[in-house]
Amino acid sequence: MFHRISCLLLLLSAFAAGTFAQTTPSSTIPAASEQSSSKSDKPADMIDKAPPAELSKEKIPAGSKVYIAPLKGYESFLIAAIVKKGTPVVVVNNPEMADYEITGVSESHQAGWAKMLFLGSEQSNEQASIVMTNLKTGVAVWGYNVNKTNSYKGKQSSSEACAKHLKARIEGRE
Amino acid sequence: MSGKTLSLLLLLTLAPVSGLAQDVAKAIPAGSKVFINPMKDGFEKDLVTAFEAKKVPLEVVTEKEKADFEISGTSESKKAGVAKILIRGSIHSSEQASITVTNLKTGEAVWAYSVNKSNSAHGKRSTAEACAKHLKEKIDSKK
Repeated sequence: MFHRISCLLLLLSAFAAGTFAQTTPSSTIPAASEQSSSKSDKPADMIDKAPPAELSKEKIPAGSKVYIAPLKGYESFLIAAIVKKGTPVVVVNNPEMADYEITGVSESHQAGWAKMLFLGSEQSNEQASIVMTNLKTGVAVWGYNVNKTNSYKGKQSSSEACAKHLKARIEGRE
Repeated sequence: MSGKTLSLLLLLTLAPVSGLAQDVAKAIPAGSKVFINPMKDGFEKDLVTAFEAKKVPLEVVTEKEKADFEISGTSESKKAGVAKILIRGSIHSSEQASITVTNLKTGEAVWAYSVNKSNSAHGKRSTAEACAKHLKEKIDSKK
């Protein structure tokens, strides 16, 4: 009788320990269901860091020197947009002279025959995403992405949207 | 009291000067030597031709070391497809280009312009001439 009870207790304690072992990591990771099991192996000090969005509250001073990394030609549109929208930054051609760096990606899709026929639009589909990084701290201070399904002026429209929002960010309106 | 008045006068004198200095730093003087970087699909050649057509007061040089300013940029061209010809009734190409003028001494971009023409009557020539026209306006404004 005593032997059976001890076996039952041992089984129950083993089951409880197993359940605890499964639930403990998931309780420390925010939104654990979205992350893969490999990411749950990270140390606790990395998990407890503040999300990157908190770091983007850093003020970008007007007149800062910005280097725009090559973006397959999109950087030229971005500089033109910065000039046109009066974004208060100085664009430089050397990252060593700059306080911030802009990197990103842009995609463009011309209207096909179906779009022309059914939607009556020959305007392109544009999307771009840019990130501004503080070169001293290495922190991404601002990022913006834009998608225009009927871009009136192609890359010019998407780049001007980026420049407009960068200006708003510098002036503290966003 | 006189010290405060003097400081105020000094401040009022220096404020417009600093604004002027910024304008001068961004200005492109007429007759400046400019080097045009090779661009996609040879757009730099269209640009040189457009400078001549629009009488842009710049001297184009072939060596970067001799230049005061550098022009870099990109251009994209898409010929009208069958759909555009049949549905929209247009045979004109779609063009977009963007150029940046950089001061080679300071390394700062002093002027930039982008253009998009969905029905370009003369292809790249139209976009190049648009860039040249606006660059000439910038030089003439002396700002």
